[in-house]
Amino acid sequence: MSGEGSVRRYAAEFKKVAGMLSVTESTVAWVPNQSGAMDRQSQAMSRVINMFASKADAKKTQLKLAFRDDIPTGGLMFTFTSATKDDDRKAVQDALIPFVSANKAGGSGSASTPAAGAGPSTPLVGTPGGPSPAAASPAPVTPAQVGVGGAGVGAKGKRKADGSPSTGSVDASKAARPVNYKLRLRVLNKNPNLKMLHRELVLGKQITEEEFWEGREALLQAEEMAYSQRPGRASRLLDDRFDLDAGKKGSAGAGGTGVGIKTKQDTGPVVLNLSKDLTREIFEEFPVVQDAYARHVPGIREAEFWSRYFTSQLWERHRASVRKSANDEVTKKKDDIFDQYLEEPDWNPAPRKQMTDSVERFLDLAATEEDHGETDTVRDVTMQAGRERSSLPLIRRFNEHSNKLLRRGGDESKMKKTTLSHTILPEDYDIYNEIDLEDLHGPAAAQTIPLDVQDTDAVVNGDKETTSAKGVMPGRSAEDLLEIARNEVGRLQNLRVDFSEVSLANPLASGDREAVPSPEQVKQTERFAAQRDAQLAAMLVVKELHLASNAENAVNAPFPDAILEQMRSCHNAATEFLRQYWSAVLPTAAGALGAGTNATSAAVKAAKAEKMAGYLRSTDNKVNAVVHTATIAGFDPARVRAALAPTIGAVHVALEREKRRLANGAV
Amino acid sequence: MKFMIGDLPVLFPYDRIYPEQFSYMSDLKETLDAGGHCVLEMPSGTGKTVSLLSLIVSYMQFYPIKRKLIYCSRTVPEIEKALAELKRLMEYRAEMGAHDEEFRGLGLTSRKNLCLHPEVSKEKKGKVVDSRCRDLTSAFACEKGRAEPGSVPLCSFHEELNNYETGNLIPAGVYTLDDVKKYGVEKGVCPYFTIRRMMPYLDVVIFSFHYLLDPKVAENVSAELSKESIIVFDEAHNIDNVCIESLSIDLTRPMLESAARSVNKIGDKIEEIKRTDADKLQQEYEKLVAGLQEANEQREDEDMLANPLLSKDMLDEAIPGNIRKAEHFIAFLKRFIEYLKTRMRVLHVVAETPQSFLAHLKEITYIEKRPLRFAAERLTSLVRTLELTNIDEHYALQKVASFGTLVATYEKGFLLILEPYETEHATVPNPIFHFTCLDPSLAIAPVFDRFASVVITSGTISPLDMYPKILQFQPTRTESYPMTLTRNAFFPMVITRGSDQVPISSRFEVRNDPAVVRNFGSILVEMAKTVPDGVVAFFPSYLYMESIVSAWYDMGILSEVWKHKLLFVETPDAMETSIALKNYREACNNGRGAVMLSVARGKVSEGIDFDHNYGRAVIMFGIPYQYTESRILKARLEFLRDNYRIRENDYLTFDAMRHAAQCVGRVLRGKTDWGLMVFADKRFARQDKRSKLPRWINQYIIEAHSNMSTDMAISLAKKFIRQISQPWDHTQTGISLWTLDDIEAKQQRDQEESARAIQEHGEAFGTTLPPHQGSASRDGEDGGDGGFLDGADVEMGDEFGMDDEALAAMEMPEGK
Repeated sequence: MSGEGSVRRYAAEFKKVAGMLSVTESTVAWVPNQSGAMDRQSQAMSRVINMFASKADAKKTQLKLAFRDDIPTGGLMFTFTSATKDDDRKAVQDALIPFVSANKAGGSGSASTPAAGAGPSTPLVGTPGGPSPAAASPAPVTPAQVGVGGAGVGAKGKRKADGSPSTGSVDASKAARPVNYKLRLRVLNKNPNLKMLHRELVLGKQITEEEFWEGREALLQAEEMAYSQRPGRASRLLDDRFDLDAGKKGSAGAGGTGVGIKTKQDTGPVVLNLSKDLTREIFEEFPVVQDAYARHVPGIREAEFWSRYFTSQLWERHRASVRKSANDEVTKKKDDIFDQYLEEPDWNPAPRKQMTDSVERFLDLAATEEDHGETDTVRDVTMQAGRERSSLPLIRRFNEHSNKLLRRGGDESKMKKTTLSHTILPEDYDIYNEIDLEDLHGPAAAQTIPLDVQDTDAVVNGDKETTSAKGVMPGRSAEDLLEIARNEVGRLQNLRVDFSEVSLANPLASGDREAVPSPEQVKQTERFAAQRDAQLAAMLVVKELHLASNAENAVNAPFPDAILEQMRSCHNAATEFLRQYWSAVLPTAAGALGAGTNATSAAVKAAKAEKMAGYLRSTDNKVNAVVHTATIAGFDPARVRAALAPTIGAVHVALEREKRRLANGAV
Repeated sequence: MKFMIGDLPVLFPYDRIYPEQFSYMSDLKETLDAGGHCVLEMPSGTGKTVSLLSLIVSYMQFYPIKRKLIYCSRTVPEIEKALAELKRLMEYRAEMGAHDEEFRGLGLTSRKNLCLHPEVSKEKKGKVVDSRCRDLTSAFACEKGRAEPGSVPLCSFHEELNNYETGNLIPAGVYTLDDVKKYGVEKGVCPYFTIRRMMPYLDVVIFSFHYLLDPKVAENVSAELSKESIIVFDEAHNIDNVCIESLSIDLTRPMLESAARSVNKIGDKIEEIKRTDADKLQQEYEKLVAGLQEANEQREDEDMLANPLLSKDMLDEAIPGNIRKAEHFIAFLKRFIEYLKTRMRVLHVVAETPQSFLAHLKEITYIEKRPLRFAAERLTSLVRTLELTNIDEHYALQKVASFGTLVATYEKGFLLILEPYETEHATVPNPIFHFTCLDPSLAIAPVFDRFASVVITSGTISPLDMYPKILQFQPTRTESYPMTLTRNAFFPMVITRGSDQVPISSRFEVRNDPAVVRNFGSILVEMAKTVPDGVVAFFPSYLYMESIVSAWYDMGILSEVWKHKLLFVETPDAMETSIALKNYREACNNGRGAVMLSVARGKVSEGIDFDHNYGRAVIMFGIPYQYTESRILKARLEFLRDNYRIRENDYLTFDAMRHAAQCVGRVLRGKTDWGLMVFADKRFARQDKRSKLPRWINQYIIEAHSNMSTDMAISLAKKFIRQISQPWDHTQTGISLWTLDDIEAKQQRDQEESARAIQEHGEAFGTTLPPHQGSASRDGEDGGDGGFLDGADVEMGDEFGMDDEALAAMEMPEGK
């Protein structure tokens, strides 16, 4: 069946028209056997993003391809027709797998490069030359590439339907991973910088995975929380969500209260789309419906069941609306299934549902009522609660609904715990909380950290000395100082500047140039010349200074990318080591994540500090290496040094401290 | 901290103190020294209770005279909190080395709240619990049960108490209600009777107003309290209504039917006893001749049989002859009930004075005033003689008897109103016979007469002069404290119109107008969007809330709210509402946020705090006026006008504003707390309304914020929330927070001030003043703008001289 060269052909039907499916390195195309019977289909390989296969034992052997941006809409569905149709499909799938996984992972159009090695000639699973290295994500660990090659994973996932055995190695490697492996992966994928650091340090085997994550627990926790957060149930009342006008544009956006279901009868049959979620919610909200469903549905069709429900009086009762038109009551037909569930609306002052007596005393309104005894007087009409009978069931449903929404979040167990018998408070309950005025408490004693100051005496004494010799001119009395100031003021006031004193007149300006200069004139001229030269020299110097300062402010040529990259990596590594070092040296904060665990014990920390110090010592060499590279590349090494100076400074501070620490520890 | 006020060392259980608290305590001490009454208004949430308790306990423990503190609060949650406050105070005092080992403090509440009996405590109704408890614990039951065990069921918790020494049923110390209950469970004793029997030995008693004001209860519970006791009414802004309620009785037709049945039953019982045990009735007869006092001994356990207060001399009197015999009394009651039934058949409204009622009664039935006065007492005696059980069955009869006694006792300050229809539009008669008290001073008068110092205090009792007027007493001190703040922690604003500029109001004519309803709704939606955590909204009445909630739902407004917050609504059932509240608080705590809809004057507005995240905004939809069509209210207004010269409109506004203030005040506790207060009604913009708000709220409403549309208000609210959420150093002291040094500095200043005042006075008049009068010109920083505001506004109101409705009618064209 296979075609010659790099093109393979398979007999396949498309939209029930027989034809030939051809797969090349770059395209997948289908041509009808009878020309003109159907449009020719051709798509670039780079656009295939998914494929679906029919079940292995299905009547037809089908393969559906989905393309990027959903063009052509709904994808293309081919039915293989030859005798070896199953093998054909498998072959096509194998050919497509690398592309599909690359296109899925890569996302952008640049992923169309896989053509390089992955060709029909090597169609089997796990092609190392497959698209994985070319995929957009440079990180060594991405979902698609863990363990076995991306193609393998893709094949496994997609081919499950065919019943092909899954590779055992995948499961094994999965089991070996740390618990929060996925979590870490997600965090890394979210922060490209962190990912880079991770690649350099962990995959570069400089520090271990665990060390890297130490101190970053908060990130993981936040990610875990964000990930485990699921959208809850819609908070609108159930019947309020039957928004029948949804299809119509421009209808009132407020939705309805289910009233619409009735009014629609004028304009024609109502179509309700009941999703599985919706029916489940109806069951949850109204258990009687579930009961009815369980009893009757095998008997009657599901559609009939629902349509009867929505036209029944029961539904009318379930709807949380007091708006009830008289017409409805009249036209309502009897329904033998649902009418037996009808009951009186819950509109008496006392609720039908039994209330548990488990309210804290300070919320217990019933206690007050009992305490005051039955009043002998009747409150006036407006203040009698529950007079508006029709709205009571509504109000009860609101409370009930809110309660259900509240309980959605789980915590059922917590609820159970607080229900102690008959309004006696649980032991751990603190009623003082309810009455405390927190701002009246004095400020809590500040948590001070004792400073490890060397030479305490020196500091104290030195302080004393400096205080004794304070002032601009130490050792002078106030009168002296005043006198000096006064003199200075007088001097400045009397200052007269006579420029003729400093600047000589040009002796030749007087016009008697022709005359033979007298020796005195010559002397004058010489002095003048000397002054002029000096002026010029001064001018030059000033000019140079100006130029120099301009040059200083000028924008430097940017660092070449390669060097910048090196510098950044060097800096990042140093920073990470510093972070690890200091976190190992400083005491763990009380409330910090992971406090009190084995990882924060003193011995572990000391070992870690030593290790980190070791890494830090090599920083200088690394910097020198970078400088060296810069020199070779012809870039100003001084600038590289200047840029990395703060890093080196920080490292030196840490090393200095480490040296002292070791010295102290030795003693 | 420990500081001195005059010669009194005060232990205050915090390191810092608000200036308000210090002034409050100083004034309180002066009142106690002078032995007079006082009215003090202190901003909500500035630690009123703790100041009060710490000063009074210090006072009681420092001076040698043994005085007792009777602390009354409104609701059980508040009682429980006050007890917790006291307990913590005592713990602090012990830490500081104060010697109050024998100090005892307990709270009292109903049997229903305290009962531990496995079956009785399951009963839902308090009345039934009371009655069943009585069956198990009454004197005759105990006697029988102890004589031959097993013949009568007894309560083991009650019996167990006999094993304890009188006056030491529970170790000394302070116990909250729950503590006592726990103690009861542990030891197997009855918490209710433990507290009841410990009453005479307590230093501090905390219970609700009713135990002191309601004559039916007060006589039993509070009779032994010494005259030296210090009485505190906390949260007293509603005290006049409690007074009035405690002396009013309403009768309905079903109640009369039930009473008639009871009479027949008791009649049968009498016949039976006559045959079996005629001696008993004879004995009773003899006792009754001797006088009521004797007949009613040993009644400790029977407060559910309590009767309206009778004066001392009446108790010594003999029961009138014509009702001494049991069968005569039964016939007497029958006649009285029949008479009332006939009256109920009238289908038009009748209002008459007690005198006219009695005259008519006598004319028709020959029932005289004197025997009627003894009706309730006589019934009590009879019930006891017959050893009736399940007396809750006879509740209606008791009420009828009390009704008779009250009608025959009081001549002034009461009115009888018969309303045949519940509402104006009703067509089926459902008659109610109101015996209504118009004068709140009647119920509280015995308290003022009996006790030397009565403190009336609340966060919202402006205008202060109203209370002495309507309760008829002379305070030695009335004071309202401003709120000192280093930053504006709460933001009151008045929204008068929606974003569409349609004015909003809960005025009856427009409240159901769709535009108004929608505008109210959009305020709620916008607030739910803007404000974090909890939002509380109050409506003027249940009727309005219930109708507006369904209207909002149909308008899709509530669905909008649900997008941002959960929604809880107050319901008629107390337990149901409590659970809604609990869920509300949970939603506020877990960050989901919630909205609570409830009613001013309703269950939630009294006694539930919405501090911190439980209430970042409170919205008052409309002005919570009383139902002005109520005939009772009209009668009361008339009474106030005729007797105390309080104009109707002034009283109505005062009443509405104190409840509005009460609602919005619930959002604050402490000065680090913050919240928005939204008054949504165009009438709040008017000065005569706002001037009746407490000064501490009014001082922060600036003119620019007193007439806003919804959109303006929301943008300001956003700004406020952003500002207030900035980090702020709450520890700075000196202005709104004082340390011990600040107190001493202040005292120093005051001393100098008063010395100077005396000196000046001396120079001017050549006389000297006693020093304390000098110090009365206190608090220069108060600004002096407060006190007279109210007076000025009353005058302004006089100028206009027209009522609310008339004014509202005038504004009608502008609204359209």
